[in-house]
Amino acid sequence: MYDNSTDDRSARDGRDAEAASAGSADAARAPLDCDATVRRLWDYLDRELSEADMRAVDAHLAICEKCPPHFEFERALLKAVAAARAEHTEAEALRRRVVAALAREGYTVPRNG
Amino acid sequence: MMTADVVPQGASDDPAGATVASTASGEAELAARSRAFEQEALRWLPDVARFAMSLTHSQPDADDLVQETYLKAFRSWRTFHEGADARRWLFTICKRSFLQVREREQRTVEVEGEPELETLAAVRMHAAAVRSGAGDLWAQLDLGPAIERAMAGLPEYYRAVAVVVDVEGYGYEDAAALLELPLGTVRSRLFRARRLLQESLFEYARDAGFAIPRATDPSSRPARAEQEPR
Repeated sequence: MYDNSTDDRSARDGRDAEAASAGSADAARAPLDCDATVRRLWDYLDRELSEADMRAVDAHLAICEKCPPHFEFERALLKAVAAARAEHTEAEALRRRVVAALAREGYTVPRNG
Repeated sequence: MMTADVVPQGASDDPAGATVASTASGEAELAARSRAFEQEALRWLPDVARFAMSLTHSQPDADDLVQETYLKAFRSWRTFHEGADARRWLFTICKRSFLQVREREQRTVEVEGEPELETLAAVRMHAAAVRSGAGDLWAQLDLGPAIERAMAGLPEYYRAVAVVVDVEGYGYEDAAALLELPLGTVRSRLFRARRLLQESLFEYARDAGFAIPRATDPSSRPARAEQEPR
């Protein structure tokens, strides 16, 4: 389990976040505690949560000191992974090879104009 | 495949003329198919090449995979619906080709655990890094080569999901369609892939001299492998 034993806010907020995520309106939704927030971290960073859940995570991050650094750390990781994508360095040569292979299958290179 | 010497059935009593007409018709159809393929499929070759590179981490293997992808695409071009997402269609063909050999060779399938446990494991790793003074680890490392190595070290079925979502930027639903997986499986493999990437990068950091403790909680260990009957 996520170690939030030193988190006073989390200790005070003992309401069940799972019950709150059962689709109830925002006004009735119990605030998320640290454990519930962190469990939603990657769904949140991927923007795959419902709007209500996104707002609930935002609300917790706005008042919590412990959770935001985790979110920033993982966000930075995802950004680095996206930036480090492997590029093909000989795309033109590859294209010629592919077109030659396709020609053996009957592909005819379209004429320009 | 249409060739110049194919004679359609039911040729008329002017076989030579019919042959010429059918040959011309066949060539026109092939030319039209080639034009459409050029415009809708070949335009995505740089993207498919990059996708193949991300999957294989080997330019020669990527080249083979790209060629195979486009041959399969051309052969099945009639099944492609005009106006559909050609890039995603090509990525799906590429993914199938990439994984089908490996699925045949694979004898075990890891049991995928609850996705949120992977999230918690990753956060525990960061918490351990913070306690050892390396909370901003990414800013202190040259991540490019490390990520390249970490991605190449992922099992292919995790790497494919990580590439589709984290590199190519597809959402979960589109990724599930592209990868031909249930959405839940996409999510669980993606979160596992990210946790494994993070573990690999932390090992890289330890090799570089960062004193980051290893996670000892059982939930941070890889799932046990189960024998899949073949």
